[in-house]
Formats: sequence, C-alpha cells, structure tokens
Amino acid sequence: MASSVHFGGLPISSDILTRGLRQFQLAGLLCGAVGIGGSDRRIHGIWQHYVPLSFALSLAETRDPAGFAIEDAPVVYNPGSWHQQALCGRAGRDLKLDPADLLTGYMECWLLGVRNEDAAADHFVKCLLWFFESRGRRLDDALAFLADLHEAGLVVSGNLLLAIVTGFWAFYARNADLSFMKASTMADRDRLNRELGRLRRELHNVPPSQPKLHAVIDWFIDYGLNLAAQAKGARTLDEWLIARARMVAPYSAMSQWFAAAGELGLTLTQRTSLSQIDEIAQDLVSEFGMFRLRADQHLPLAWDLDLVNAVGKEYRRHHSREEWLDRVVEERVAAPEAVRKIVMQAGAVEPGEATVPQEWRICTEAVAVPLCLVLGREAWSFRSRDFGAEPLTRAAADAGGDVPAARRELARSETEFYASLIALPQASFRLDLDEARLRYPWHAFFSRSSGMAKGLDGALDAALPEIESALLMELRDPGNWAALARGAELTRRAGDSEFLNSVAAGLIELSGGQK
Amino acid sequence: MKVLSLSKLAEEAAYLGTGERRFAGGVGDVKAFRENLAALDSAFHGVFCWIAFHPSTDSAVAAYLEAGTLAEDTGPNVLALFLAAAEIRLPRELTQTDLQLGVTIEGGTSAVAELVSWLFPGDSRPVLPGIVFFDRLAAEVVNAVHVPLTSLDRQGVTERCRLLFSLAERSLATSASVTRVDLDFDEFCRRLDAAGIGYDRVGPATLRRAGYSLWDWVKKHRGEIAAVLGKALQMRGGRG
Repeated sequence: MASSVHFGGLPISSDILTRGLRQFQLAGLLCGAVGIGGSDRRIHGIWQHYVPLSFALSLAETRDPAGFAIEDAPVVYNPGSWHQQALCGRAGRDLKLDPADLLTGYMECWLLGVRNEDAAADHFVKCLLWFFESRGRRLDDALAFLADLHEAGLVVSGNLLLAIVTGFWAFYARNADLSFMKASTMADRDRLNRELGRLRRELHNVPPSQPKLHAVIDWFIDYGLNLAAQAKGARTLDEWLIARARMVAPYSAMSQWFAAAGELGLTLTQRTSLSQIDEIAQDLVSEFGMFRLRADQHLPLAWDLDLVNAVGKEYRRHHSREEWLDRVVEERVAAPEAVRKIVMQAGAVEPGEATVPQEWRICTEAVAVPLCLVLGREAWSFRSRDFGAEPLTRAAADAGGDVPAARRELARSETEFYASLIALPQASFRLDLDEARLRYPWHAFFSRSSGMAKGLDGALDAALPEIESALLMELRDPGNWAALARGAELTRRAGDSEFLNSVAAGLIELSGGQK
Repeated sequence: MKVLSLSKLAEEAAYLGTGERRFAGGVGDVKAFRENLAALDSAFHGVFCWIAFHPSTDSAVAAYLEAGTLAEDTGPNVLALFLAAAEIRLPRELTQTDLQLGVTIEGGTSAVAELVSWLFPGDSRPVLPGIVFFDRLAAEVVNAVHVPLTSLDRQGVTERCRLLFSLAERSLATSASVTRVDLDFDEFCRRLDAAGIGYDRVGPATLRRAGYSLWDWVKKHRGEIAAVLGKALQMRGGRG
C-alpha cells in the first residue's frame, strides 16, 4: 500500500507532498532495516529534516480543507495528538487524518519504539486487537494491517515487529474473548487497558492453540515469500532497496520462529520455507550492514553487488559459470531479475566480475535521503565513486590518518569548488555542473542548478524533475521550494506556484527570516 | 498453492536434519542429491504421490493443479509431486507456465509415461492420467499403487483425488509393520476395493525381480520435479 497526498487541482504540489511523505515513511522502515539501536538522536535528526514537510502538509490542509486528503496511510493512535474515534486505521479509507496527527504519530511511535520496546509493542498490540475485533475477527485482515503499518515505517525495528506478533498471538491463539473491544472508541481507552491487563493475567497459563499459531506463521511465510517475489521483480534500484527493506523485519521474526521450530511444532513445509527464509534473513543483515560500513568509512553508498559476489562464491563451487548467478537470484534473492539479465548479457561471469551500470549502483534521493538520515550522515557529501588513492592518501595524512574524515573533507572542498565554478558566468559551467551532478548525486544545489540551467534552455520537461529532486534532497531550503514554484509558474500551474511560494515564505518566516 | 523443486525440498530436509547444507543442483552433485533425498525420505512422515499426467492432453488434471486446492486436499501425510517446466528454487505459487513444457518427449515417450512403465512393469501398463502412491524416493520403491484418473472432467478429478487422499489418510499405519513408511498399502487397497475404485498395484516381489529403480528416473529429471507444499505436511524429528 502506497500512501499519497491529494491537494485539489494542484498536481505538482500533490506529487511533491506525496513523495515527501513516502520518503518520511521510508526513513522509519530503514530504521528497522539498518538498525539505529536506542538512538533518540537519529529520530530527532529525521524529524528535523521533515519539519518543512509537516509545515507544507498543514498549510495545504488549512488552505483547502475540502480538497486536501491523505490516502492509504496506515496509522495507530498517538495519545498526544489524535482527534479520531477509532484507535487505528487507514487514512482516507477509515480516517480523515489531520497531517499533524499523522506525522506526530510517527514521531511518537518511533521514539517509543527506541526508548521502550515493550511499551511500544503493547500499544501496537492493543490497536491490532481492536482492529481485529472491530473488523470482523479476520486474521488475514489484521495481519495485513500490521504489515501495512510495518511497510509504512511505523514499526521501527525487527524486534518490535516480533514483539507485536508475539503479543497478538498471546491473545489470538488462546481464543481470548475480546468482545469488549468491539464497539469501543478512544473514549474507552482506559477501560481497554484495564481489560487487556486482566485478560493477559488470566490467559497466562492457558496453552495456545497450535493451529492458530501455525495460521499466523503460515500467513507470515506467504507474506515473506511475496515480498521476495516483489524484490526479485524490482525494475529499479529504488524498488529493490525498498522491497529489501520491507523484508528485513518479517524475515528476522521468521528466523526466530525457525530457531524454535521444535517448540512450535512446525510442519515440514513450514520448516522448509523458514529454513530458506532464515538464510535470506542473514543476507539481508549483511546487505544493509554493508551500507552502514560504507557510511562509517564515508565510501560511496553504492549497491555494488557485494552480496551477489559474496554468496556467489559459495554457489560457484557447486555450479557452472553459466548457472551460479541464476541460483543466487532464484533461491537467495540476492539481486533482482533485471540485474541478472544485465549481467548475463555480457556473457557468463565469475563471482566478483559482475558489474552493473550507474543507475543500478546509485539510488535516487527517494531512498538515499532517508537512508543517510538513518545512518546519521548528510546525503550531499557522498560521492558516486571513491576518491583516487593519491588525493586520499594526502588528505588522510592531513587528518591524522582518519580516512573517513579525509573523505568528508575532500567532499566538502570539492563541492565548494564546483559550487564556485557553477556560480561563474561562463559558458563552461554546464560541463562542470554535469560532472558535479554525476559525482555528487544527492547534492541539492547541484540538482537545482542543473534544473534551472535546463529551464533556461527551454527544456522544462527535463528541468522540473531535477528541481523536484533538489527539493526532496533538501526540504529545509526555502530556495528549493521557490525554485519549484518558478518551474510551476513556467508550466502555467499558477495554483501550484502560489502554494509552493507560500511554503517557501513560511519556512523563511519560521527560520526567523533567514533565507 | 505453493510449490518447490524436489531437489530444493530435499536439500532443506537434509539441512533440517543435519544443520549442513548440501548443494545438489550441480552436475557433479548426484551423491549429495541422493543423500538429501534420503534425508527427505526419513524426515517426511507419510507417503509420496505422483500426479502423472500430460499437461496438453490431460487438461482436467492440469486444471485441478492450477486451481490450487491440492495443497489442502493432500493433508498432513501425503507429499504430492509432478513435473514442472523449470526448477523452482524458492517456494512460490504455481503458475500455468509451470505446467507447460513439463514433459520431456524422448522418442515419443513422455517422462511421466516412462516413470509409470518403470514402476509398473508388465504387459498391462497403467493408463494415464493417474496418481501413483509410493513409499520411497531415495531407496528402492517397495510398494506402489496407481489409480487412473481417466474419463473424468475437472470436477470429477477433484472429487476423485480428494477421496483418494482421504482413503490414504485413513490407511496410515500406526506401526512400521508393513513397510518402513506409514501408509499401509494393504489397507489402502482394501479401501479402494470397498469404494469400487480400480487400481494397479506392485509390491516388493515384483519390483525386486524387475530391478527397477525410481532413483534412476528421479536423478534424470531432478531439475523438473516439483513438490506441492501442503501446509500441514508433517515431519519427524529435525533440529530446532
């Protein structure tokens, strides 16, 4: 389920707000995939980055309450700011959500998730049981809702997802009478808490029904295998990374069930499926761990087939040069089908020899920005290729042997140099700009400048995507909102232009008048 | 209905038993494949059945597989196998494509017909389509029963298969006195007789005398044999 923002008659604004919201949600999902431990600081960093999005969404709703809507955003209530009767649901379908409620809800869920996992699990379990009971007691629907919450980035870690499922089946598999939840609303919250506490104590010694436990596990196996199929079918690196990020938490939970297969009395089919899932779960940890490692070293955050090559070595020992990659893709899901085809077009290769073109190495800002926020890094400072050995050695010597610091310093000076060249009124600046864009794929100023240069050449169709990318790289810069407003004006979208300009003006005002 | 290649299922069964993953898809890994199959033989708690049909001519049986209820119909103790178009290395839903080209034509004899003629030597070879219930994969087959599914439409195939699986389930031996697997073939045949269902049966004497080996056939077609992952399939022991 993909969330979206509808802002009546303003397609450019609707699109940018939708993409901003999805980026924000992806930050939550990536917290679980990459792992942030108990770091409040990262959560606050993410929030700070998206304050302008919250501002823009609220402004849009204020300006046109009837024409504004957030659709398909699954959410659970947030005690601090919630104006609904329901405890949870999906925006648009079940709830007409205030943007502030939605984004604050994320922030509260994330903070609770990292500070107190047990309390976070209890909160989700209560909402999930309420959803289950008030929507016809259908297990599939309840688990699909939990999966939506997870995919929309509200469940901030794999352990939390496992705790929620365990908490849910503690009631579900013991046939708990949850009828008291059925017609309840937010006004009954205290009573629900008391009743659930009482039930939990009463059910403590009741053995769970194995078929019901198995039904939950079967649902997750199907879900996990469908996620793997989605990843395999990814058409872009963004799609691949998002699909893989979605796999991490459920695969981690299923690994735990595999480890407890005897205790859970799992069937041959369940064990066989979970055995493969367990293997893939380990791959996922290393795939996202590689991004953490690269970020620590300030190396390019590129997807360079590390997993394919590592797993491929083992497969190559047993399979031919023509076969090993098929196996790695088919049973380990270490790369999408599209990449397998690209690699094999050049003929059979050995593990380590496979390479992919730039569009499969470097993701767009849609993934890079939330990824960098979760990693605690600034997206603009990452190069698409590492520096040469010579300048790096010199810079490392200057940095007292600290190579990652040397890379950061080199990136800072190089981007400043490019920025100064781009500012010069000379004909060659566009060559410099192209080079700068290639080297620093997530640098908002380079992207915006490139868009504006294309706009000046009259290529508006090519200009707007670059300016939109710049805005999504750096939402806090009013200049990016104003640049998109100008682009909207040139494409005769006066309403969009006026709204985007008002966001820019509002952000300037919020920052005390600093442009 | 989720399906997985037999070779991968066997690999996982071996891993569940030993904690060691033996890759068996490669050309030179026949030994590992046989060891994996032996692990599946001992891990699986029930009887194997082969859905023997030709996808282009036996459309009622193909439609039954495509409908996807087979995984539920087989119950916890019957592992259903069939020939698929390609190797399936991660469990996934059966597609129509999996059933196309699922038969290797060699000298006019399909792989499925070859299997049935190996298992049922003699002049009156069982007709296809049909279901073959048998007891072993890696070792020599000791018992096999073929029940024809001829002259049935899709509904008829579905009803017949459900009845057969139900009879097999009710014929499971609680001890290992008849064979080393859990289906009591004598009891199963008595139930088939009582239900008025025709069948062909071979026992240890016939199979030993003929020197036939299912293993040779399985080895030859190991990349194409798919297993239906019934949700309830039971296993013995295993790690975890």
